[in-house]
Amino acid sequence: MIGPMDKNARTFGTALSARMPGANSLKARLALRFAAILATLCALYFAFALGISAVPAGAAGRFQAMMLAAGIVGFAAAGLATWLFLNRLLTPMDEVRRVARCMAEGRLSDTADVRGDGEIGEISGLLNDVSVNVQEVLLTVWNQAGKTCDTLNGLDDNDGLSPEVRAVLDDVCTGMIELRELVMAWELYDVRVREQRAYMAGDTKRAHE
Amino acid sequence: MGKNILIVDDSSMMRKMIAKTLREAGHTVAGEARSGAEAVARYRELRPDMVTMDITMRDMDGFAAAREILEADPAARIIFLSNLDEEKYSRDAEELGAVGYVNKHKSKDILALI
Repeated sequence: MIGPMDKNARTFGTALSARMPGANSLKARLALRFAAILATLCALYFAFALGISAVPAGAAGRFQAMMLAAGIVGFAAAGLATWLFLNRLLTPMDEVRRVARCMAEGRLSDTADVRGDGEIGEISGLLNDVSVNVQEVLLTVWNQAGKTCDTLNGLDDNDGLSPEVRAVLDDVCTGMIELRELVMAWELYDVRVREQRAYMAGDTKRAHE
Repeated sequence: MGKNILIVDDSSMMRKMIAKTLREAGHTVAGEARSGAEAVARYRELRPDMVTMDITMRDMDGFAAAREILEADPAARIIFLSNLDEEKYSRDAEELGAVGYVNKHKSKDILALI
């Protein structure tokens, strides 16, 4: 069930997200909800603190001042604690989301650096594992396509190939080259390709010196 | 006779594939490691007969790990297994004192080196 505070936060959140990119993120939405709850509690508390009139005049003034001071300190501490909690909970999630987006865009070079035994740490590790496995498959495809193409190019007319077979083999070879280009559209972790050979990123210079 | 082998690769899929190849040939998988640093620690702990070592890995690459293992145990037998350029890295592996280099797309070739 959605309460009025939730509704207000949601309406405010929708308006905000239209103006500010990222305002509709989980972090922003949770922060808005907590802020709405805190603001309501704060308003109720201060309305109660300022409305005390059943105590004698001199004592009431002192009591109200104490209530106000305690309220300000208490709500500031609650606000700070909420902010720290949200940051601690959601910053690793932002990191995982960033790496998931990189993978979706074909960049395997980035890894999620979230440690710990929690669920987010585990998701982060699994995401890295998927990334490594995808890279292995891509490199294997790249290598195999290259070898196949080399073999086909090594066959010449002296091997008794008819023009029709030669044309088919050329087609296969073109397909292999396209496959390699498709793989190279990905950004791989610590691997660079130069002159149709794969090297560790730091070795591309040294290999050609 | 079957050997005790430590598999080092950051890809879980590759570790699974290498383990299958080794077991089918009658060898025992002594353990697995997913990074160079873990490989060094696992080697000290398990003292396997042989290590299959990937090259590109997060944290510490395969050459750095092999160097540390060979410094601690010059008799260590290490086979590099990678998708990188065979010509360059087989030469590097030899210079380092490894048993050899096998391209991952011909991973069954490791059996001939064990």
